[in-house]
Amino acid sequence: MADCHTHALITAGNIVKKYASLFALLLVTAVLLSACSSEGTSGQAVNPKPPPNVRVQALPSATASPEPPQPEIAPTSSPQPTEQVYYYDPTPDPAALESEIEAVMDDIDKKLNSQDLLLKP
Amino acid sequence: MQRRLPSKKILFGLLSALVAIALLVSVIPAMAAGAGDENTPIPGMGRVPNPTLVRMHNKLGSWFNDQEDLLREADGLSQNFQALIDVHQKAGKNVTILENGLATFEAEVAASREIHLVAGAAIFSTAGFKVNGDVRDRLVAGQQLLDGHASLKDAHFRLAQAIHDLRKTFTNWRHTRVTGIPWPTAIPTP
Repeated sequence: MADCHTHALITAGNIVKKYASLFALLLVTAVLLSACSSEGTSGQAVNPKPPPNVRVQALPSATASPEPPQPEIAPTSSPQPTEQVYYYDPTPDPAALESEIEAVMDDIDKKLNSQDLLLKP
Repeated sequence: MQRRLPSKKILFGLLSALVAIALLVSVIPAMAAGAGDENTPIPGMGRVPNPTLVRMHNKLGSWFNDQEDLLREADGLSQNFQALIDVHQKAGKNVTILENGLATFEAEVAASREIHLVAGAAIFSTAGFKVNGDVRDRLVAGQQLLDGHASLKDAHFRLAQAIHDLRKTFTNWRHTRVTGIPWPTAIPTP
């Protein structure tokens, strides 16, 4: 019985000796993992990059947007003329027209009568 | 011994040259006389020297320009007459006499202007006279003067008639407006 126990111990010791480096590696890994997991549960995730400066707005549409309604301007009263304004009456005076017609007819007659109609050197 | 006669080709050539020379001798003096000889009589004008033709041409050109002004004045008269018609029509008066008179006047002035333009085409043609006014071809120049003069005179008489008719219409209308009785068109014979 004691032999068996001793043999088992010897075997375990041999195994430990044989894979000591592997065990050590596993141990270190486990310690690191446990440390990381404890830190992760206790702290918040931090984004090291600054937030992008993006302005959110509506994209311009292809159709023209309707003109905004112009505010109606209240009509202002025109300034009243201080002086009397005279307008030209386009209707001519018939008597003046008649005398002008006579004068033009006389002038044409005079010029026609003064014209030399002969073909001479 | 056999004499050699000139060939037919040479004889034909000599004959052609002689004919050509004869033609030139007969045509050139006639052309020269027509273009520049001052003694050549012009049909309808006689033996008029070239400087006289130039003077007559200038005189006709001046007459044409004066008549152009008169026709323009007649257009102005027509506008005045229309204004008078409009004024009286607006006042509700009867303007039939004036309207008829103006229509006749405008038609006569238009006819006069057409003849006047024919005169201008004859006078200012460069067939008989050069651009600088000198005579190019005596016979053509003389004919230009005769044609231009006849047309100018015709246009003159038509314009004179148009003015005479318009004056008559105007007098008639004035008389009717004052007395209410139309102006007598024909004097009754006793």
